[in-house]
Amino acid sequence: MRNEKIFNAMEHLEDKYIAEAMEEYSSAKDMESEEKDPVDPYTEAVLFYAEDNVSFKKGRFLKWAGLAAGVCAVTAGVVIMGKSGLFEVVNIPFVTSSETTEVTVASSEITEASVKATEPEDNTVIVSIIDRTKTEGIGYDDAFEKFFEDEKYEYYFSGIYSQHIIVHYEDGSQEDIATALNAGRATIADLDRFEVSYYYKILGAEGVFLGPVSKTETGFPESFNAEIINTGYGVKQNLLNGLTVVQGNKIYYVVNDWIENEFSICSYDIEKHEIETVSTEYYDNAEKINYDFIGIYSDSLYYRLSLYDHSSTSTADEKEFYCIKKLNLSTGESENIYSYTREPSVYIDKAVIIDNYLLFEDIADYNTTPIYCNIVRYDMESGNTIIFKENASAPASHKDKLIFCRRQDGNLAIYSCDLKSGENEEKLCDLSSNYVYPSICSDGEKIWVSVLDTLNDTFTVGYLDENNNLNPVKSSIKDGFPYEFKYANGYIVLHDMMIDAKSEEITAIENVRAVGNELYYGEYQTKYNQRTKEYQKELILYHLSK
Amino acid sequence: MEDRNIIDLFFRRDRKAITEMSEKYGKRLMRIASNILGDGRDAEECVNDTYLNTWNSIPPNDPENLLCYSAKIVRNLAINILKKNSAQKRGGSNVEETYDELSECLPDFNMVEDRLDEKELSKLINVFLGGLPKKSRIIFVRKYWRMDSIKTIAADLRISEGNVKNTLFRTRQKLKELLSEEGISI
Repeated sequence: MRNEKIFNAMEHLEDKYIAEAMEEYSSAKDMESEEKDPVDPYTEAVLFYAEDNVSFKKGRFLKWAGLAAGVCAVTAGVVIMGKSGLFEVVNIPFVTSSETTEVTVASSEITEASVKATEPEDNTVIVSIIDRTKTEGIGYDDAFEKFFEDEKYEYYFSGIYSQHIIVHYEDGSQEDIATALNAGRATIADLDRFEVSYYYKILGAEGVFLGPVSKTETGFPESFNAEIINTGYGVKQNLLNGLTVVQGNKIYYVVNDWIENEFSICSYDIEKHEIETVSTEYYDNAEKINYDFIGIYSDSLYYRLSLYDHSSTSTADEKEFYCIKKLNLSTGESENIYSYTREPSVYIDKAVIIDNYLLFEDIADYNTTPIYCNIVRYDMESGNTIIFKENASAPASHKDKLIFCRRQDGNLAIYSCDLKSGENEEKLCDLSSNYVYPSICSDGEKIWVSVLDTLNDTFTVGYLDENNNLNPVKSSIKDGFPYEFKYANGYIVLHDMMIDAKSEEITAIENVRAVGNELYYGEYQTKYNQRTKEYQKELILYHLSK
Repeated sequence: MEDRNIIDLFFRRDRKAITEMSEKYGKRLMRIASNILGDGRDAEECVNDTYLNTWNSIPPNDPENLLCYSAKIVRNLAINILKKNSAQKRGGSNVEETYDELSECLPDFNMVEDRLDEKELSKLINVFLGGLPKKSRIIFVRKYWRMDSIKTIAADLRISEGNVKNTLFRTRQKLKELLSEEGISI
């Protein structure tokens, strides 16, 4: 009767704890406001280790003085690495998730104070910042309102409502955000801290807006060995495209700096705790850019670059550009090894490295329904490119076979052939003619398939059973495309879920990446930086293991 | 109205005390009842009974914190109704599930089971809570005392559900460690 025992024991909690839990808090920060000042993260980490009796030898601090040349607003920070048993956590300096948005600017003057009960005292502490448009549903006009500028950026709200963003102080006074910012009683970091969204752009620049901050926290499944270590400081104004590929001790990832139009591929050495910028590319006027890392072969990183440039100076051909690039990780030199004639499928990773071959699908004809694809094979040793399979898509390796999809007589079918020669084609099964955007991966035993059903507008994920019939494990209403469909360490990973390949148990989770045979999970967190007295965002990366 | 003034109304046997209490804390009390009993008539009756019990118990009681005092009453009443309903097999609630989760923290030793009585366990939990960061403590009490859902806690405290789950997971792990140590040494 363990249940009853703890049930009864909980009835005798001390009043002070009940009273505390019955209070209403306007934010997590508000909840913590009665506590002592946050402990310096250095001290906090040391205490964390000391308390938990984890060997401190495995933790290590490293000051780093900047992520990459040209990266903005880098403050001195720390990166702490920890390993404990099966768990491994890697912190990568953050980045707010930002998307450039095409907007029409309707700039207004910086708003004067409209809510001021009493003049706040000097050095009074901000208790909360309340967005009354959300808490009280106050209406506002739809136009971008400039509410502040500093030496580098202009800050905007997406509506005329700065007078409704109210800063509350410890002394009971309150005022609107524009007044507080201009008086120096609040900072932009306070908006981040209290999760008030805003846009910003480089001072005087026209067009491109950045922000708002995107919340992507989802939480990791508790059945995994993973734990947060409180470390790291953020790098503002950059976009980290999360974890991408791993080779040996190094993790490679992309840092986008939209202010400088600078896009860097960086490495993080897990053992040495060193960050290195491997290469930097500049794409002026880039409106949207995607790096899809395919893998590493012979010290070269292969990735697909998708560039969308809609600036007025670009010619039609330059507006969109897609290619596969090869980056020499030793020299940092890169070259285009394949240029797509048309936009490839940007949604699903359909490229695979098999021995010295890089196989990927390329759309040969857009004017057919469904679109006509070929599988192209690039020999990473000789540099030769051939069309390996005509009318075929979604290449994947399974045991000694290449698995792919082909459409014949309107129906989608799954085929296999010899991995290297491409001979001995065999049809494994027919799928519905309604199915498009197939993607395939193998868990070593079973062949997994994801398809979009155009009739019902649903995504189906399943595997081929012993009779090669598609056995659906999950069907869901289409909600975006499955950007990720890979197998690693017992799991099929999709953009919003992971499926246990054996038990077929589904865990709803975002931000899990399958890299090689390992699973990683990224979580964005807001941390307090004792030195700068600011809250900063960081990406905490977990190595997941059972 | 301040708590002290409402309690004074109770002492003066002024029925306005119930109105003021209901206005100030009714929603929060209703939430606890709903967490345990689900939305519906039972929860409403439970909150009404709480007002009555408070009326009958103040005086002689003179609580320092009226909210805490009435929250304990509503919780106890709700749990009693739940037990009665369970005996009559009138549907379930998430309470069992919540306590299943928490009971995982108890060490799995028969010896400990026998020796660690509810009073000691309660004392240990209070000591444990005292050593937690305030945020973790609030999340823990909201989940396992107020029976709030993870979604509600996240929304109330303006943090992510993942953050709440992580905090609860780590707190349960720590509690389990503490209870294991204490259980063995008792």
